[in-house]
Amino acid sequence: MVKIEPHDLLQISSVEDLSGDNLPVWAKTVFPNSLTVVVRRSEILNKQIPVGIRGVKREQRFATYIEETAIKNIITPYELVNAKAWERVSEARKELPAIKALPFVADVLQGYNWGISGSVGFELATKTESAKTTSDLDLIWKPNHSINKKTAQSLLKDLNQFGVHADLQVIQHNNGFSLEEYANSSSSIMMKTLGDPILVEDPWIEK
Amino acid sequence: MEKLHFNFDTKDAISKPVHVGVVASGDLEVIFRPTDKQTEVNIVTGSDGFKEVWSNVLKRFFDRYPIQANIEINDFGSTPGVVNLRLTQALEELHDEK
Repeated sequence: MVKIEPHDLLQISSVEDLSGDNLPVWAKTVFPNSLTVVVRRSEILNKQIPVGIRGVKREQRFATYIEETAIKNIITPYELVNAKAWERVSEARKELPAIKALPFVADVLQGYNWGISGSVGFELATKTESAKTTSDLDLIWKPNHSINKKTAQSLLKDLNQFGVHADLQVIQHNNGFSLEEYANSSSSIMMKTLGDPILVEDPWIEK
Repeated sequence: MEKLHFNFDTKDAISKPVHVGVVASGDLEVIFRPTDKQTEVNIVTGSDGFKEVWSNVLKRFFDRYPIQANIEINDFGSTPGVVNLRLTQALEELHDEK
């Protein structure tokens, strides 16, 4: 069995692979362009993989499931970085703030095990126009060591000097937390888990 | 984008402002401010069409914790689970270092 993690992008063959028959109308028109779903942070039960599909508008998100056997290809947010996927978009798309910032962000994050999620990751992986002029740059980072709040603040400052709001989620196995929240926190912060989110005092301690 | 407004007749006055959450996809910012007027909740959300869900989440919250406050919420497509957690976290901050 392949390892599937939240934020991974899964290519499937057809709309029919999505479970349930209550798909919104936009899903049937927009989804076939990419045939790509995003793995949600939720439990895999009975080999049903929790995924989301995205439309053009922000509120066009729909949660569903696919069978593991429906997966044709997996693209991880980390692969997009290793392949420098931002170099392979059209000149016009390179002008979007969130895409334009990527080569600079890559310099800042040299040596980090990081990936691109959100609308930008989806666009780079699927070659469909998903990012907007106003899109944030959603990044994930799988650390092999913890960093203190001061280092986190300075890293976020470095990442946010390229004309787009960069949001870095720190990945701890199946869980994730916002580096920005950690950097500015005085007490507890939110940890997203496969189940309900929880509040933790120290996000670096494995639960 | 949608703006939502709710009022509640809750009377446990809060003594200080608190701010929790972050501006990030799937998350929200919650700000509680003391008020001597009726409890008011103003929400700006990127996800349209969830008024009913917000109403239920808030009603359950105020049934349990009848605080009197002016509440501002900036939502970036969070789930009800995340909303509940942020509201609880704001309450905890209220009771911290009092």
